Amino acid sequence: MTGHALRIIIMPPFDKEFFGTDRLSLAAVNLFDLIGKLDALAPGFAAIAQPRVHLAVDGVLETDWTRPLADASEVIVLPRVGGG
Amino acid sequence: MHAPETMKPFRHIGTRPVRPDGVDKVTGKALYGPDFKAPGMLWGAILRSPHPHARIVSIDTREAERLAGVKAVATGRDFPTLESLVMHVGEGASDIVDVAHNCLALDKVLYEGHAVAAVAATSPEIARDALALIEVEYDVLPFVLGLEEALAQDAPLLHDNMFTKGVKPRPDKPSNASMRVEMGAGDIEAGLAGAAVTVEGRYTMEPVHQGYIEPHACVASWNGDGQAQIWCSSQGHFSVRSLTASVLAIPQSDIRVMPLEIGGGFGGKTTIYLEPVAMILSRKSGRPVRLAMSREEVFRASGPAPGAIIDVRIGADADGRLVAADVEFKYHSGAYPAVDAGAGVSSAIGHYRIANTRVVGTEVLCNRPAAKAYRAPGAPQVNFAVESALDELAARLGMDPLELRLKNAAKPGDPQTSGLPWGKIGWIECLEAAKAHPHWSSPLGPNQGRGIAGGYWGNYGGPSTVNLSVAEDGTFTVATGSPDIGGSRASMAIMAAEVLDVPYEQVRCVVADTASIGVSMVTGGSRTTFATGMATVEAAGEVRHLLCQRAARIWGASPEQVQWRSGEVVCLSGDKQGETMSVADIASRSFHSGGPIAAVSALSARGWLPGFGFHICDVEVDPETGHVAVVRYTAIQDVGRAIHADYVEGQIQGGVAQGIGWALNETYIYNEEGRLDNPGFLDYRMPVASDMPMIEAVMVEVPNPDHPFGVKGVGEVPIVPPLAAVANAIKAATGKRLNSLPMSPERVYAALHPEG
Repeated sequence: MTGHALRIIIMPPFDKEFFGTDRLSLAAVNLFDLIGKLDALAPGFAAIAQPRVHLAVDGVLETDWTRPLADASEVIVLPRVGGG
Repeated sequence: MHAPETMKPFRHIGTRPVRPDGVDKVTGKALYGPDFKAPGMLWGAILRSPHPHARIVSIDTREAERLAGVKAVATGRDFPTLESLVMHVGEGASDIVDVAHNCLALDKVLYEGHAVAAVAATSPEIARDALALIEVEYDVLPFVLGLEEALAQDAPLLHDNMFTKGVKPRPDKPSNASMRVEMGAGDIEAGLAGAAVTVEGRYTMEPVHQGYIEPHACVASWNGDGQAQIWCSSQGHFSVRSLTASVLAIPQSDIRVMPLEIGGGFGGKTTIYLEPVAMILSRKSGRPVRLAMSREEVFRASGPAPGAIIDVRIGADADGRLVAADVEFKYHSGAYPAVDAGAGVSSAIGHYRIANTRVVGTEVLCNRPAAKAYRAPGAPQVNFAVESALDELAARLGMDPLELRLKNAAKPGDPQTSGLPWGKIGWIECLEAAKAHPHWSSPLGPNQGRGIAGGYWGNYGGPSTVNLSVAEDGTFTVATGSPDIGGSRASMAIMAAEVLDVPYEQVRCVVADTASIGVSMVTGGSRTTFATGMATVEAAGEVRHLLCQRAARIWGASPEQVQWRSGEVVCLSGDKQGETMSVADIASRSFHSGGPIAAVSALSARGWLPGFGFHICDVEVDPETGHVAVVRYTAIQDVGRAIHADYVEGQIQGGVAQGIGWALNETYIYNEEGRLDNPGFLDYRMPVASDMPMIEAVMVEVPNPDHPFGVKGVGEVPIVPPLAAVANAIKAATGKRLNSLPMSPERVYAALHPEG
């Protein structure tokens, strides 16, 4: 069961680097599932996701990618910013 | 996690106890990376390229191998062939192939100082002599150092397979632009066209080094059975383990990394340079091998912060409301792709509410050492430009520069550059605190000027593991996987003592090796007090729960009949009503009441919040020499809640000192041959104590509701505003806007005396 379609906002550089668009609509059980579906659209995305990507669900950054998305409406895919 | 506002007054949080590692450090007993020795250890040395760009035609090591006392020689050919794989490096990401080639070049050298070969010998002298016997034939290539030169159509290419990421369509030709990131909102050109006042400018700087006092050093011992040990100082020994294992294509569990004390990192020790090389030399020689960089090697071969060219256009309406900001910057990546452009884009203008924005960052490869993180990586450079331009805008508007910032300051719920809403930030509180601070209204003397600037850093959470155990006498040990750079042993002990409601001295904290504790991310990104602290609080709560359970069992009571109170267990009802049991009582009977008492917390912390800072800087400029003295400095910062107040203030003061050095003196100077001319502290002028005024750190506490004690990261924010604060102060003192760093005496003099 994959649930309802989520609004997926792809932030730079990933919009141009992988998807050619900054808006997608996808259904996903959780964020790992979403990453897999994004990888199906743009092979190679999953390989860089953990070191380079942050995910925000309905405006909140989420580090637990097992988080169910049944109650979510939007996921933002944005670059991870590394500190020093 | 419960909101901190609901908690009772703190017993330990915010206090200033003596740090547990202090005595060892001030008496010289503490063991740092270059101090460590192992029995039978060999001394390693690394041969480095004299050329900024060359193809390696051949390396002949036979003469070196024949030298008496030489036990092993290694080159890049000794590493396994690796497939491209993007990995965590510190809080950033790098391709493991680049990491390996940066440790030992394979086919090309990409900067002066690039490691080419390594030797292990029975003495440092023999190792150095052996390096001179290694013959490397180079095919010297044209090199490029400058940002715009590296982007030119005919620029020498560092990597034939580098196609700019972040652009569509994918370029059909390789270039030195490794990444382009663009974010924005609204209509930038319409916004600027509609502005009543606009300013624009170009701001530049060369790379600067983190300037940690302790050089990179390690000892590696790789046994015949495949198991290895590495002793080194780093910001993250788990990162050392994972990167070294990946470079060598061996299981992580075969490497045990022992963390030694670290003499400063600031982001520069979140990667590896020496460890895989020492491992190869150890495997070849069958003995432990030590590699340590000299100061010169640190400058020539370890990562600086990127230099930059930043173009800014900002517009406001007649009332001083910002209506548009266009920022485009280029950052040096050095020899390999870095990840600072995204950070620069995220950190440029998000502290203000602006309807029309465009921020573009490009990472540019050039024949310099690979850039590495430096305290809020990517933020100070772009902030220098934006906050300098804002001062120019305030002057054009005839507006108080602090009022301009206050009028436009982002508040909770406003969108960041990424579009995500700001959480519970304390930016406006910082600005208000600055306005009320006596520094802001104090008089200035002759040739003095006052500058201000504000900035922010996103901070992070991430994975941390903590093991909290109870000794048989009722004392506590907190073991973490986070190297202690800024006093984290004390901070963890404070938080555990707070949860357990016991004396601070009853809790000791150690940094455990990679075989003795679960994975923890680097100490960096302002995450340790937040994330490892969260794990400490969780583990302490679990231990408290276990102690209550154990006391109840000893009493023959139910868990509901007991309660934790003032660091001991109280029986609330039944035969034992009113009796108490101390931790020592419980612990001494633990072997016969269920076993030792301990708890592990392994988590990936979420709910981090950014930190904001606002700085006021007074300078005095000597018109005859151009020398700039910082005579007063106040740094105001939202710290969430200070756990150990001294170390929060210390982080703020340290960041400001580094920022002042960046502003006034520090810079890499390359000669026409592409070689670094100032690879030492004599010629690379870092500030010393006598250059600094007392830096007043003002802690504004707007607690983070998603941390049990309200913590926000504090370590990186304070280096963001000083560059512009100093520049704005010089402008106020002299009337001259300096757009290039460092604002050294000769540059200030030239600005004051354009006639020469």
